[in-house]
Amino acid sequence: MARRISDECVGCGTCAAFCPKGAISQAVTGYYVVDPEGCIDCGSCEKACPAEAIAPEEGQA
Amino acid sequence: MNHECIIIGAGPAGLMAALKLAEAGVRVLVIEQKINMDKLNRACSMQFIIDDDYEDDVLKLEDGKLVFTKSGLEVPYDGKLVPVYNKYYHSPKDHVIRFTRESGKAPLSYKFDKQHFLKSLYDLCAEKGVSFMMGTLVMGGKDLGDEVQVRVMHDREQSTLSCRKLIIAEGVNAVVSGKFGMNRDRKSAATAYCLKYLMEGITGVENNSWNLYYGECYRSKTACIIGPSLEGDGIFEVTITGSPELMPKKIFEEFTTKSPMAPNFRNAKLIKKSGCSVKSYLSMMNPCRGNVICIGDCAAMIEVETQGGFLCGDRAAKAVIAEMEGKNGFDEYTKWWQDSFEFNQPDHMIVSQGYALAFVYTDDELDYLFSLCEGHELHGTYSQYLTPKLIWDCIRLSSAKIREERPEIYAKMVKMGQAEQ
Repeated sequence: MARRISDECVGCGTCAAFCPKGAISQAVTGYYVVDPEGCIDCGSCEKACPAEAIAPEEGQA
Repeated sequence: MNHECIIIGAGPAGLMAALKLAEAGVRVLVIEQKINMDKLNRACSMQFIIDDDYEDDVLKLEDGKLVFTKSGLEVPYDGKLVPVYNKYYHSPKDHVIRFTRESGKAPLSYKFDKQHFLKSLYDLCAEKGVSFMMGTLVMGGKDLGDEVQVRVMHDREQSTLSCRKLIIAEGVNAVVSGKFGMNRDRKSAATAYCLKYLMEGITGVENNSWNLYYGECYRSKTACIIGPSLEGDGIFEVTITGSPELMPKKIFEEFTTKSPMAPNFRNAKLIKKSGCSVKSYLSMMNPCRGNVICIGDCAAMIEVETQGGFLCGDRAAKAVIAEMEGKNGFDEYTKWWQDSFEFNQPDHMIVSQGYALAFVYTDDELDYLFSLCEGHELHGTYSQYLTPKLIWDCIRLSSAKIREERPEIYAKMVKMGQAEQ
């Protein structure tokens, strides 16, 4: 149960700022990744993303 | 206590504060979410505005440095500069309102390399002894009176740091500011989503100019913007702003394929995309509380621009030093903040709210109103509040004509408070 960031990510980092759990961080590529163990699936990151790059992991409703 | 001063955010305001504090011998730690300063993917217009008295200072670009002539602040900069000579507002049928200085001979602003600039400032800070914690998120914290605690997350591990004074310079969304209770008295406004596309091969756009396209036919509720890049002639930045109801990706697709600008994009190629989202608040009228001070965009109504960030950082360093010496530096900062930035002036807010172009007028009406401004040069200002005022002052030169030719437009202007009954 976690959100996932697709390759639509533009690397702005807004999602990381809004994550209440600190579960999103910048990868060495410059783009951002969700730590599935920290993610509580609250959707704050998805709402913050300007690029529509964040969605629930596939297989989820 | 680990640190005398902790600064959250390594942007223009945070780095300038860090530099000035370190130069005064204060032990400073900067906490930054990015893992290094090598890439800057956050969309920003990246320009120095050189209008006199913008943010109550006068910025001059001298060899290898920026000089704020009123406050005396100097900032080294040796990167690219691209002058911008014109700013055009385009209506649907391309009637154009032009902002310029000295008929296009003197620049309105300069585009600069923000990534290079911040990296240089970071290096300078490190040289002066500033400590950095990169790849670190601030989870919360508390002002205990004799110290401020800051909870951070780094590499999935939480820890608590402490300091005497905390400077929050996190940027526009003011998330950490909220965790420290600093947004308490602020109204939040809209959320805007912005995508910026660096592109080559766009035709029919003047180099070294900003172009704002207004009207429903351009598919945005605000303006679609094509402006200069740092990459030289023929390479432009396309900036699209959307909302939760209409995301910028869709606006971009329609602007470039279905709007009157579509033919100009026929052979255009995308080089790079960046973005940002902005949850805007009204300005923080009191940016200092206890041992905490919010500076730069996180305290602003949207933004202070890079140059405003530098001014805030410089002032905040002075304020923190004064506070540490038992003097009242924060009150002095607050007074300067309230006096220097236009969004803190009630008059400006009223002006800006009454001067809407989009939403209110149909495409045909925008064509008519913009056509009245053709042949006029509107001078200088890049201010977000004075720019629309200048446009409406120019339109109102034709009040009698509008009343006679287009009474229905005049009635809208009256309703919007843009013209007299």
